[in-house]
Amino acid sequence: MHLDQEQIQRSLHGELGLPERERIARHLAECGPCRDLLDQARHDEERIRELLRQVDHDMPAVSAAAIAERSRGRSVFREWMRIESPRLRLAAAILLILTAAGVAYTAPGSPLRGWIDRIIGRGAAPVASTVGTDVPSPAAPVVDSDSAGISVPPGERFTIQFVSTQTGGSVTISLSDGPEIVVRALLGDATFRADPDRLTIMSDGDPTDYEIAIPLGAPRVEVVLGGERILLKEGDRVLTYASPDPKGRYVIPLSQAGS
Amino acid sequence: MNRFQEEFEALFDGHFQRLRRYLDRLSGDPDQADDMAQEAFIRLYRRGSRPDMPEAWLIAVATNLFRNARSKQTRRERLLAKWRESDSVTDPPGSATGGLSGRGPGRRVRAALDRVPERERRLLLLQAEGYSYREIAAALNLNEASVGTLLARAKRVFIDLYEETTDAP
Repeated sequence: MHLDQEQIQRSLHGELGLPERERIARHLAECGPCRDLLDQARHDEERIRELLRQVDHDMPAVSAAAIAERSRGRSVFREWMRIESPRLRLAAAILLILTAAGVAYTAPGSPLRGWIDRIIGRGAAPVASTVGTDVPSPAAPVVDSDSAGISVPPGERFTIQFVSTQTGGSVTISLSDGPEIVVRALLGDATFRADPDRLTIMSDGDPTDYEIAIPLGAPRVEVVLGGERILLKEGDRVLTYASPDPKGRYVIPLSQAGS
Repeated sequence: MNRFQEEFEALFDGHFQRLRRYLDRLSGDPDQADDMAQEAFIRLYRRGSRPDMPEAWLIAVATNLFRNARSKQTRRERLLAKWRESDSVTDPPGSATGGLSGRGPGRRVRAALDRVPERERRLLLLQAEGYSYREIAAALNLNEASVGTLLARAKRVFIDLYEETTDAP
């Protein structure tokens, strides 16, 4: 019985246990064709290493201390105090306040938006909504209107978490033959954060439709909206309050989940 | 220095360079590779505890960062293409995609590598960095018992593509 590719590669990379290693060594001592295969594999390995070195680039030195410093972040106040010029310090403070106000204004569920709209009269007079900050920059809608997506391996247990509740939109969940979970945001802007066992989906609060394809072979995948599980795929079972459509997809409204 | 910080430094010393080289070879973009490798270690530091398999964890995080970056790049390219079609504009200098990797002695290798399917490319490059079969299987969600077979196939694909790639510009 000749060696297969798994055994040849494992021999090459020291990935065999002792009994298997001894058995293969005995076989190689007696089998010329297998010795040739191993030599060819070794030759290919060296050639590939040599080729790959040709695409390497010089990189700057980075230290663990620098990464730790970046991870901890720096206090904004401390940075501000380090600015020596009073004018620059004032400009930095104004910039910081404007940034904070902008974040507070655009945050989903922020009361600030309503207060400002009332102050400038936009809430009372619909006509006013056609002017001012509601008009986006020319480039923004092009990017927002395009779909965004990500695919991730499902592992043994995986959670897809929507962290912001939208005022509309839905998620269409289907099972696929593919090896990975595929998530796409349609007609809206969303940010994905992928960890090994979790995918977090953040949107800016505007209605966004999503498509999620879960591999049939994934052992356990759950989809969570806020603090509520809206779908669980475990083995062959799919648990959700939504009924499948004729194509076997589950369409779940994001604003009405669980209600 | 607490225990996690000591573990973090040991992990950084042992894995940063090879994770960054893996990402450089995967993406063909050294700046992006540097950013992604640093970001993966920043996330590890912020995690505050050692994952069960830190090497596989770092590879998985870095690979997701790569995919996110690639996805954004693809969308940007698509939008630029639409924009070009509608406005008949020409590319600004240096804006061509893949420009970083299209020159020098590695050009032919890069061209072949870019044509290797992503899973095979990741497998090939991780093994070239000396990651164990167990780490590779965990990071790429593969059955550890078949890593050698898949690797042999990936090598064959890469060599064949390299052989059929010409040096012509």
